[in-house]
Amino acid sequence: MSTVHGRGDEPLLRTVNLTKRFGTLTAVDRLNLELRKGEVLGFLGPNGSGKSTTVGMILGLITPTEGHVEFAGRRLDEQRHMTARAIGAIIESPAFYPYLSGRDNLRALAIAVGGIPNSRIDELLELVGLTERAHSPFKTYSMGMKQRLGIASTLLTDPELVILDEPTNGLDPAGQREVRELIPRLAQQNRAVLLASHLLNEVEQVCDRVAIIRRGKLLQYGPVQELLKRGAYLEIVLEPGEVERGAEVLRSVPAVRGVSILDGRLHVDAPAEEGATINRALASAGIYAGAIVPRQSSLEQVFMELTADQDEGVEHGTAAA
Amino acid sequence: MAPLLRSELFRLVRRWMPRILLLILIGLVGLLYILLWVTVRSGAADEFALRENLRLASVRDTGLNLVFQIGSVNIIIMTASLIGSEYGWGTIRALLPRARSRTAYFSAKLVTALLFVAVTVLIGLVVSFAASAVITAVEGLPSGLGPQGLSRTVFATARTTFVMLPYVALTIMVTTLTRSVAAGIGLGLAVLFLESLFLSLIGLAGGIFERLPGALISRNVQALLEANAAGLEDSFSSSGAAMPSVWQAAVVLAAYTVAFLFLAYRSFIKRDITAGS
Repeated sequence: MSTVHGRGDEPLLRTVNLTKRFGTLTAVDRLNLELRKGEVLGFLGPNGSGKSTTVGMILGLITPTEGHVEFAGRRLDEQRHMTARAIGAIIESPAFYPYLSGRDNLRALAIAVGGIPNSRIDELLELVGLTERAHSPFKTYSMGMKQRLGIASTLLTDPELVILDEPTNGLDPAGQREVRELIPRLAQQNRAVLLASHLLNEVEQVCDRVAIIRRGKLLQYGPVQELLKRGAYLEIVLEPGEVERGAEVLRSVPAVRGVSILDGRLHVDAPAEEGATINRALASAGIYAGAIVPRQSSLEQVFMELTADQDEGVEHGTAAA
Repeated sequence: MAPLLRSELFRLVRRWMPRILLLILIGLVGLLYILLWVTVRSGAADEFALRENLRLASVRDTGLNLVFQIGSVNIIIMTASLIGSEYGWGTIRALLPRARSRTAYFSAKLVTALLFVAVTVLIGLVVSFAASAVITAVEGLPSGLGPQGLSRTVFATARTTFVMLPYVALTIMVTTLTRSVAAGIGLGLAVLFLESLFLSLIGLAGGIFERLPGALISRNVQALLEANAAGLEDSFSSSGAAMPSVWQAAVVLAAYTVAFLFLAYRSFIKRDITAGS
């Protein structure tokens, strides 16, 4: 692996109050993120939320208006020449020269970086399953093949940081599964992976932590499991005639933050450990629960709640690193 | 810059566009020589002048003039594509993070464009020599190409290469600023072909406008190309107009080249490369 450096447990990548304004539009607003080796960070946000701008700033394609990016403890803008090999990325869609074959496209990139043997290119083509079509022009590739070539290009220099933007876009289900399996493997090989994706199920499966941004502001940032716990609720099964009364009873219980009725069942926003308290409150009102089941929201539900079109009032950079 | 330049050349030799442009140059230079020859043989033109222009010694005048006329178009097209296609294909977003610096990237592009200029002029020169050699031999003309003639041809080749540089620089600037191949080609060709027409109109206005042509590109290019004919009895490239001195022309063209490249470089260094660019 190409190593820039690395001191102890310090983050490999850190954005410090990273801000980008295009005229009056603030695309990214004081973004603070950290990413360590061995970690996969999911980077989520609706279209136009600032994900690509952030990635562009990390790659030096876009100059921050304020703040900066650090790589292995040093400012990236002061050591760009050293990170050409240390960061591999595909941004938005894989971009290659249409008149070159897949193999020659990788070769062109390898020559631009220098010191990459042909055997590495063959190895990567094998890894992404493009060996047989390696000599076909890129313009004849399907979307899935383009994505595979994009993934191969990110790994060309055996980088410490891999940035993947929608890597499973255009892949068939088998290809998607392969990529989902590949991403944690990359992190296990002492790399850091930043995964920008709209496929929340995919992020939930492969990421250790998640950063959710909207309109350039960081809404949530933390371990996936912690985020999912935030959306946890208790599902309570009652006799059909007692659902409404049960909801009334629980609304007066201090541990309960909210109660809703969905498909004839109570959805109670309360910590799972309050199950006994809730059961007692219902029993004291003469209502006996058929079942009290702790449920976890999907990342998609959490994402939709956080990015709903309302003023969240969540401060940026508040979540734990 | 060396790895990026190697990558540029690796890609350039695998493209069809430069091959096609060079084939067009070879074909057109050869064809124009044949047409001139046919004209001479048919007696439809001033035979002395045409025979003088077609012999080997006149390659530095006739041949290089044709190379300039056709090669400039090719070079504008190739340069615009070299710079602008990276934006169109989005490959700049893949390549630039691999570059040691933006200066290295810009330099690699510039050197590649200059190499294409050099190759264009050299191939055009070789074709001109080949066509002229055939005509000289068949017509039994004196070649007139002694050591002094060869030396003058070398200098003329350098001058012809030099006069193409402002167009290369202009095309780089326009393509970089607009991120568009079409804009680069359009404006490059417009200046190449329409500036002299504009000068003729300005010249008619008289007064202070009379001095303007000397400050623009085409008159200075013409001055240097006419200098290629030094020592020849008849000049293919002579326009008959009053020309600036060779040194003045060289300084003006160098100033344009540097200014265009400076503006392109400054814009490129500061630019944000976003998805839309």
